[in-house]
Amino acid sequence: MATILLIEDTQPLSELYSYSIGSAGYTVVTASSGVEGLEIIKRQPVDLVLLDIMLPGVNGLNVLKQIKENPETNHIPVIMVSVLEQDAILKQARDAGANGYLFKDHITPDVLVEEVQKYLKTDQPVPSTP
Amino acid sequence: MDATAQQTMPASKTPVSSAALRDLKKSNKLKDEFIAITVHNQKTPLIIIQGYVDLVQKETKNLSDMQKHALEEIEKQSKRLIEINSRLLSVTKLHGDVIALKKETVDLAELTRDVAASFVVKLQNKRIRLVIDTPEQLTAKIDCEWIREVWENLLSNALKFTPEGGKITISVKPKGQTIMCQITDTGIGIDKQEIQNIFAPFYRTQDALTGGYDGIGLGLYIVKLIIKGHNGKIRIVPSHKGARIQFLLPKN
Repeated sequence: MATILLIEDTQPLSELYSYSIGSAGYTVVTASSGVEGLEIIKRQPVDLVLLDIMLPGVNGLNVLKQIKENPETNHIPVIMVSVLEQDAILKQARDAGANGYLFKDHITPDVLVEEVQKYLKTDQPVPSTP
Repeated sequence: MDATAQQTMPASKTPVSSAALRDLKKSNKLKDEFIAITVHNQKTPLIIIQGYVDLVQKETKNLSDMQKHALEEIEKQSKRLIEINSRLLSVTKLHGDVIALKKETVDLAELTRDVAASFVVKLQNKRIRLVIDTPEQLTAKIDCEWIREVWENLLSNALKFTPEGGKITISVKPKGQTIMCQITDTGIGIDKQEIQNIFAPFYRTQDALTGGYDGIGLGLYIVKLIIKGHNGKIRIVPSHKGARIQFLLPKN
């Protein structure tokens, strides 16, 4: 089953999202900062990234840019998860190559899993083996 | 919200220097920013509360009736807070110097039917009949999301104040270079004395207060700001029974 990297600094949300995705059978690796997330991507294969925008240190948009500008990682689908609904932020995320954008107040376990499945299907027709 | 909106003294009796007016506008802007930041900071805690309630409801078997009720109540009250926050945020956005209206040519008749359709279940639960009178198509240059909010606010009010078995009528019709929209209900109505205050921020009618109807008195204020932002007009039509609200929107 595919491995999802969740970069989220709000601990309770990280727990909730991990639980939802884990319950759907995916392997979840968590990071609480952008730097930690980028280190994990270098270290181990990741099939999809769920990325918060407001993160301590390197913010989510910069993490996204680093993932998408690196030829070794730019194939990984990245779904932004944020409370920010400003058009300007959405545009920046889109321009930087975000594959999806979820507003945190619209996220339920089903919505999250559906979104993850959607990008794993389109961007990675062959899921990585465990 | 808008410190100048509820002036009780006639302007002529309260001369204000341009410096004082500038300060007032500045503090008003600061207040709106403060509200926006506060609302934003409450968002994540509320999302977490809802997430855990949802999780416990789905994952826990054999909850007692009291436990189920407690969870439902936590969910209901956190949703209410989210709703209040969303209204406060709408107001701060609409107070901006330049309201960021994204006007585009939209089929207003279709938009109205679309919003009405989203109320079907709530209307059925109160056995309220909804009559919609719109042409097949009627385009206007409007901000689709804000006008959607207008209809949602007006329909929520009509639904709230109309007793079971009542009726709500919505119409959208061309009138010269404008479009006339109207909503009528068979609810508790608005007292003639209160019509002049009804669009003021945080204003609640006596009947709404004493009848125990939920609300913070921002719905119609938001509606008015949106219509004003579209260079439109809104009014309460005095009615012997129920409430009737009309608004005009320019076609272009």
